[in-house]
Amino acid sequence: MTTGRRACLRVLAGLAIALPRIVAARPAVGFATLVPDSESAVVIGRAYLAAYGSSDLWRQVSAVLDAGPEQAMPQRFHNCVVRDFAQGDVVTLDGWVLSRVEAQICALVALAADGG
Amino acid sequence: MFVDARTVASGAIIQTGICIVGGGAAGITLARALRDSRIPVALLESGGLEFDSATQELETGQMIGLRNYPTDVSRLRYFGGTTNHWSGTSRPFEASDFEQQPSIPLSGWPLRRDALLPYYRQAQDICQLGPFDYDAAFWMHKAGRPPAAFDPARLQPTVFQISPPTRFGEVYREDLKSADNVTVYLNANAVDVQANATASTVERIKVATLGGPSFTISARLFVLAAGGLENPRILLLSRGVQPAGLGNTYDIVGRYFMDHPYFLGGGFVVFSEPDPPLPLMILGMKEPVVPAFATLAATARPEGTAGFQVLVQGIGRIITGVDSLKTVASSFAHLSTPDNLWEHIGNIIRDRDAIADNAYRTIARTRSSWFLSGDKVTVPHAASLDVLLEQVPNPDSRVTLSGMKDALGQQRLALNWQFTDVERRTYRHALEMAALEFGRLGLGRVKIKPLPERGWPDDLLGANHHIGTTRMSDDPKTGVVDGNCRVHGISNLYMAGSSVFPTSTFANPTLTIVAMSLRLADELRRQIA
Repeated sequence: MTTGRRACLRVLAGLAIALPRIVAARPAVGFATLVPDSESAVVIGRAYLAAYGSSDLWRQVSAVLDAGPEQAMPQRFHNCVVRDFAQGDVVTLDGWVLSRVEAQICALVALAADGG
Repeated sequence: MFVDARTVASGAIIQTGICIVGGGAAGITLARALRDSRIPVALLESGGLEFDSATQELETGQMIGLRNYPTDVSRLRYFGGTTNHWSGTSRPFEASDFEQQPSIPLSGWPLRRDALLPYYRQAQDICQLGPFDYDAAFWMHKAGRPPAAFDPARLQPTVFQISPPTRFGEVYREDLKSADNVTVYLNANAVDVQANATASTVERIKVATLGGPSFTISARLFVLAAGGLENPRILLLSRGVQPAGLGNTYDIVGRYFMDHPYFLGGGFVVFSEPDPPLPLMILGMKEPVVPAFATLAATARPEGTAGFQVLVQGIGRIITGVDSLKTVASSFAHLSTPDNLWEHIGNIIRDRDAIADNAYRTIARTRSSWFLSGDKVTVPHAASLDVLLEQVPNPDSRVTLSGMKDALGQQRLALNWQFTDVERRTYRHALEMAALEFGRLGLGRVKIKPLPERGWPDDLLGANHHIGTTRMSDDPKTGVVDGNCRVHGISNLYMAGSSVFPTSTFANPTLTIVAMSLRLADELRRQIA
C-alpha cells in the first residue's frame, strides 16, 4: 500500500481543513459530500480498504454517526473524530494517523468511486 | 591569574588546595564559586584561550557504535570548553527525573530536585537566562498566544530558554584572572591521576604539555571536570594502582554512556489552519525560548518508554544544512572526503540562508535573526516534527580506550553508542502522542516516519550531550561517584559535569551541569574547612 506523498498531503490538508465544516448530511445521502476532495479521499479510502477490508463498513459508520445525542451532522462527525483521538481509536495509513471514522468515510467514498 | 603551562619548569611540583581538571562550564563554575574562599585553586585547561588545531586533535576518538558526531566535532578543547559552541538551550530537569522510574533501569538520583533548586536559580543567572520560569503558559501568554488545552498525561507544550549563549571562557575570564586564589594553567593536560598504594587517596596529577615540560600538581582535593567523554578516559588511563583504571573497581567507569538520539523529520504535520495556537517558531522569534512538546511528568509515561521532546520545525531543513557543513568541515580537517559529499553540498547550498543566519547570530552574539526574516518565519501550513529522546542507561553503551594513541602518547578513547528497545518504543510513543493530541484538538493530522525494522536510520545523530560515564549512585556497584560527586572509595577525588548524571532526561544538560557544579563547590568548601 503506497500512496504518493503529494496525494497524501493534499488529502490530509483537505481533511484537516474541511472535515470540521462538513455540510449536514445523512450518511445515506452519500459520503462523497462529506469530504472536500473526493479524489484525495479515494486515495486514503483505498489504503484503508487494503488494510482493513470493507466487511460491514457501511453499518459500522452509520452506527457510529447515528449514536449519541441528536445533533447536526457536522457536530456529530466532529464529536466522533475527537472521541476517536481521545480514546486512541485510530488507524495508520501510509504513516498518517487518522481517526477511525474519518478513514472509514474515505473508504466508503472509495467504494462508491470504484463502483463497489 | 593565567599561566601558560609550557613555561612551568619541567619536573616542578605545584602545591595547591583544590585542583580542577577542565576549563569548561563545570570547571569554570567551580573555580568562580571558590574564588572568594581563600582556598588555593589550580584549574588545568588543555587548550589555550583560542582554538588551536594541534590541541583540538587530542579530542579525536574512535567511533565504534551507532552514528554520532565525531568526538573532535562534538567537543572543543580550549578555555571555555564546549560552551564555545553551545547552542544555549536550557531547561532544569523535572522533579520526577530525580526519582526512580519503572521503565528506566538504575534510575533515581541520590538527591532530589529540591536540593538542587537554589543552585538552579544561581545557574540561571550564570547562564545569562531570563526569569526562572519554564511554564509554557507563562511564555505563550507573554507572546500573546494562549496554549491549546493539551492533555498533560499525553503531551503538553513546554519551553527551553535560550542563553545568548554564554561562552564561559570569555564571559568569566576576567573573574578568574583577577581572583587572588585561582591560577588557570593553560595548555596543561592531565595525563595521570596518581593515588596512594591502596587507591584511597589521590596524591597528585601528572601534567603534560604538547612539546613542552611535564610537571605535577599536588592538592588536598581533586576534581575531574573534563566532560562526559574525557572524565572516564582520564580515569581509565590512570592505572598506576588499579589496573582497570582509577575508581573502576566494579567496571563501571565509561559504561552507561548516554546522548540524546535526535531524529530529524521523524514526523510530519498538516495543520487545520495556517496559524494554529501552537508554540511554533514564531514564539521563538518573539521570546528567547525554544518551544517543544513533551510529557513532563515521568510518572505519566507508559511502561517501557522514557522521556522525549517533539519539536515542530516549520523550517526544519536548517539542521540538515548545518549538519552537512559540520560533517564536511570535519572530514576535510582530517584530509578525507565524507560519504555522500554531493548530497552534503546540496544541503549546504539549499540551506545557505539558515547557515548564514546561524553564523550571523554567533558572530553578532544576538538572538535576532537577520537572514530569516519576513515570510520565512511565518507559521506554515505544514511542518516537520523532530524527535529527541531520553536515552536510558545501558551498560553496553560505553567509552573505552582504543589502541590508537594521541600526540601525548595517551590511548585515544573509543565510543560505542548503543540503545535498547526503550528508545524504539519511545520514538513511536512520542509521535503517537503528537498525532493523538493534534487530532483531538483539531489542530491537524500527523504522519509518522517508521524506524527501520532493524537498526536505526542512517541520519541518526546525537545532540552532543555526553552523559552518564561516571554515574552517580549510592551503591558503588552501580555508580562511580556518590551523591556528593565523590568517587567511591577515594577520599579526595570528585567528578563534575554531565558524566555524573545517572539518567539523561529529555532536557539539555548544561544548566544542570552548572547547578551541580555550584552544589559541588559547597561540598568542597565543607571538606576543606
